[in-house]
Amino acid sequence: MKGFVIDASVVLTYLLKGDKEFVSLLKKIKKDRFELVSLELLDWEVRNGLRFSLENKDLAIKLMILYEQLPIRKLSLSSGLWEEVLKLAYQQKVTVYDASYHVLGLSLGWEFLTRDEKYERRVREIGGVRLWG
Amino acid sequence: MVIVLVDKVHILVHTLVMNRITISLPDDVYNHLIGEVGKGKISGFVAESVRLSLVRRKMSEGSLDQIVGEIEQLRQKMGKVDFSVQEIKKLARKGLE
Repeated sequence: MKGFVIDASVVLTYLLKGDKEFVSLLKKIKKDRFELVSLELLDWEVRNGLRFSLENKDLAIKLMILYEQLPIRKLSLSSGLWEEVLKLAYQQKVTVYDASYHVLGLSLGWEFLTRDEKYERRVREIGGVRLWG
Repeated sequence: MVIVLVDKVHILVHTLVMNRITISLPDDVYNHLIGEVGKGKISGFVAESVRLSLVRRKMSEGSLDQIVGEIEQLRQKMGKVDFSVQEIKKLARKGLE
């Protein structure tokens, strides 16, 4: 089984603005036997993102419920990996949040998909990140 | 399926064609399986589990289309959202950073 790690920039952009490429990716999961994974942090970020981007509470709740049904598996980092997260965050001057998604990808040997150009540029030398969209 | 008539009593006999396959399982899964199900009942358990997984898989294929469709409908209701990626990230972490 292979897959990709995704962050909130990918998921929230899809939810708020639409992303045909991401829909294709979702639909390929079953056919091509790969999976989308992320961290539990994604749940918090997506919900907070909906909370502060949409004025309509009911719409935000409906969208959150649909998000929860998307086939994205949430994983936790082991304490050894958290050490790598902190090292990466200090070394590349990035946030622990961004580094944690990245380290998850590196630990699985899967690409980390993000829409954040700034982050991708900062960690390009390390690799393992693909700019999405 | 074969229908056998015995003294006006209809007996339905299911003749299932069985196929023999060899599968490899990690140690922990194998031991758990033997512990829970027992050696003599593995085939039945695997057949039932696979059947259930295939049904679930079929159902989730349909439901994914439905979820994607409903998200699209909601997006149309919310109108155009003009946030940049950096703005979206800030909103996602508002209150945290």
